[in-house]
Amino acid sequence: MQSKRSFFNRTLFFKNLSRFWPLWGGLSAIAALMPLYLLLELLTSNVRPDSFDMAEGLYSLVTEAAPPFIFAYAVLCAALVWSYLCFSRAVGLMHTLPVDRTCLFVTNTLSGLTMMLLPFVSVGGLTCLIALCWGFLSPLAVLHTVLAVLCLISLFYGLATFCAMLTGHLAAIPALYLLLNFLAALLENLVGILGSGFWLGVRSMETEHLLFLSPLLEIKEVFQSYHLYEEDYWPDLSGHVTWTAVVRKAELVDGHEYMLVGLDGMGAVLLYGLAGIALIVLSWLLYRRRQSERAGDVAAYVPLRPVFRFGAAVLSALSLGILLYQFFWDAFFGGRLNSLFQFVPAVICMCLGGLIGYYIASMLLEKSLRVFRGSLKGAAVICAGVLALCTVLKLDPFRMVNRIPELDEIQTLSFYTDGGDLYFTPGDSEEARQCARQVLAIHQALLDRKDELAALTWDDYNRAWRDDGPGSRVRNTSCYFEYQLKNGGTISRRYQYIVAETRIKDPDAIDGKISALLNSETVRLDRVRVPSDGTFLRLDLYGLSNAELEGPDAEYVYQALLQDAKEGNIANQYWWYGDTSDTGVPIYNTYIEVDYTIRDYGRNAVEYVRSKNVPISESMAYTLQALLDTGTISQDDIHHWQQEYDQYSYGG
Amino acid sequence: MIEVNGAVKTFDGFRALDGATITVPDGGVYGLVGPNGAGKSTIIRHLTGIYAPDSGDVLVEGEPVYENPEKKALIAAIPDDWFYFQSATIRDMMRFYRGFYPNFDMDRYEKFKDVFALSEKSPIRRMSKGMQKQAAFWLTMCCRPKYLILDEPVDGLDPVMRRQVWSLMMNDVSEYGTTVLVSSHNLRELEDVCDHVGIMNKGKVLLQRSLSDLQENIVKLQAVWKPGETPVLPRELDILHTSHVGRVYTYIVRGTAAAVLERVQSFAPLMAEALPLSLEEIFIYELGGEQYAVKEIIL
Repeated sequence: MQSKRSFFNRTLFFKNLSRFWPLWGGLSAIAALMPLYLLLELLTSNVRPDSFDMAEGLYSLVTEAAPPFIFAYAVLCAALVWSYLCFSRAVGLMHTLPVDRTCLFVTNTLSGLTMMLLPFVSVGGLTCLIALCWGFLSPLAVLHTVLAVLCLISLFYGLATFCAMLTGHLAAIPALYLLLNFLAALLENLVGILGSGFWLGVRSMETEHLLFLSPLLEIKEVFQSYHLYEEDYWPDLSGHVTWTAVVRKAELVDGHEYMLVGLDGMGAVLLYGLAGIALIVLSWLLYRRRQSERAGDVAAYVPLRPVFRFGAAVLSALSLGILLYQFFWDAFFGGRLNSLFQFVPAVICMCLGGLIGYYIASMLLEKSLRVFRGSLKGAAVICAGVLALCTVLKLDPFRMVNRIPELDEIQTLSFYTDGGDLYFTPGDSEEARQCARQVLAIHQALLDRKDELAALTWDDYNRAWRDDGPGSRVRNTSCYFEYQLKNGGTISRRYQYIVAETRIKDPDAIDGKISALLNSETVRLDRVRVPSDGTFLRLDLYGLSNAELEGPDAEYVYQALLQDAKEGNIANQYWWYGDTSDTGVPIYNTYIEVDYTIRDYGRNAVEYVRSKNVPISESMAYTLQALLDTGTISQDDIHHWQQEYDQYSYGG
Repeated sequence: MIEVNGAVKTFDGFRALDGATITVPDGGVYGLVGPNGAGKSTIIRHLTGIYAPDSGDVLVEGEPVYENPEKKALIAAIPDDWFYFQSATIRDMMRFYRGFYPNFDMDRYEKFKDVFALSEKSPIRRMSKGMQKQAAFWLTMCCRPKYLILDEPVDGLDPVMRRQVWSLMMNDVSEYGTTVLVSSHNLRELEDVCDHVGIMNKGKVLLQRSLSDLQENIVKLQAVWKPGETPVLPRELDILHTSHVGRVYTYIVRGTAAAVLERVQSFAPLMAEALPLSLEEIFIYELGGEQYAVKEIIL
């Protein structure tokens, strides 16, 4: 006998499982091949894994393979168990049955979750059984993995169920699911493109703090496994080590003893798991109010219809509208070097894009192509909205274009241009502060000519390059500024600018200011010097002569290099050409590579080898003498280098 | 008792039910008739708990049906588009129904194997429309419902099977007091089984009465008048339709046969006779006033 009020119906539960068994059964069978492979390997080889290997394997699987698999499988399971809501005959049967919506919801949700869990039970159960038999089970790692998988299932199944509740059309469930999963990232990109079209220098909106609304991307970013190689590293990481299977491995791997293997980002995964539960509860509330007659409709609730219609219009205006502008205006009527939009054509294209989205959404909602009658008001709202948005952006009420931080606001700043990637912390030294002032002056100089920069077109650049004649010294270059502020904010700007050799000596020209910075004493030294957080390792000589220097010889030559850099003996840079001299001093086709190590106290706590390349020029008297003193090269080598230079006029 | 009081249901601006009101007494067979799009299937979907009314009440035994498992357990329905799972057999569907309906009668299920002569292990989707309808009857009757709601139930069945299923239903009505609400366009058949009739049009129930009341309250009068004398009948005679063939005039008049005949006799016809109307005729002439008369089309 059926109880009067029941929250679960056994018949429906097993009916769902039996109807869709090829899906979960097939996947479980495929998943079972992994432990079978492991079993065969154990039976036929001498490989004997230990609990560390198991933890490492499980963490790797749960961070790399599980999220995309669960992401895809969840929408499939949810679409199957809720498919009846999309067909009027099926919904007629299910809602005629003598159970209430809560019972139907709980039963269908549980059957979907069961379908999701079964492949994991298959692979996990068999693997644990084998691990137990062979004695390499890591219970803590298993627990972490189970918890992470449950959270991921909760999140993605919850989201897919929520999507199934919002729509009554089977094809719309995966479409909506994809959209909701990537909406934040998509909008961020679209708004970035829009901002860059109206604000000189702006290339993105730095809104990565909204990435958590795109769960798959956020999980990929934060949920990772890590290894700690050496015992003396990991006490420094005590703050990170929360979800760690403390497993010691005696055997040396790559000269290191693995000490720990763990999961980073489990906190975020747990929060996502809770969000999944919240979505399931929300879906239940929606299901209770859902009208059966909405089967087959794209929007299952009447209030969602304008949201869908105008949401599609906004997305289409920002994506298709901008695409139309770039295809049909930018490509034919002179694209701007700084990717800025021309106001009227941009507004027209975005209106067109918005209207296309609006009418397509209307056709889907009405299930008819005849949606134009009476739609004038909606179309007018879209056009007015686009015009208002573009006008506001053009007026720049947030001072996006003119914003340059004060020196005292800046924690660190980076300046990237052709031939130089510079990074300064103004608080570190007076030299760094001076360089930061120079960077700010370059930024200000660019903004002083913002109208000219905004109007620059590709045609202007081509004309300037052509007019400069053969071997033109005119280049289109990019200047990128990134300021990390003390208040935690970031400001980044990128400008395209046409540089010319004729202006490089002019201290008032932008070209001259950049050249002065790149060839200042601090930057020259930085081209050679090992960073303060690095450890000098060795020197390598490459090119016309090859040698490796270590120990006292390497230190001796390195000090000579520093002396040359300090005295300005290393070649200046034609910064948009890279490593060539503008002083007429021959640069030999030979380099010294300064190798040093950097310890990364991040997730994987490893030591990286980094290097700096310094081209050897005739003016580097200290370095050449040090190389001769250490016997690394001979006078014949220098003579040979000079001959080679004369022959090819390298750098001339 | 089934009651629908002033039910209103609107689909995207279209008013499918516009204050519909019906009352189905316990143990009766209620025929719901009306033209296509009148709202019969919509009212049935309300009664089976699929739809919730925008306003008004849809009650079974005094309680709303929507989201009421106890009342829904008393109801079994055969919609005009009965749903079965894609690869399900009759046996699969029997297990499904048995899991939901507390009164599901397995003995009856076994007995009906002989009545319907269908293979319970063949996929239902491979069966003809009529066989699928038989399968629907087989399973629905086994639920032992107190209220049986049928939308175009015998559509697709052959004459023998039609008689068979009507016989089974009438047996349940007489033996177990089952209440049947049936919507059909086959008025000849309804006339044989219904004791109450409701006529719907444009989302409203135009009238509902016992069939005998209905037939007593409308009469077909045939009269022959003297040559050259065709009297204009008085306005108080509620004449729904007039036609004549030669000198024989046929009037459809609202009222009892005796009263109408007495009134007409005062005009001294050569001959006057009152005949009962079939349900089909009542349907046609009642809806004639609702701009739903059979139109004379000149080709």
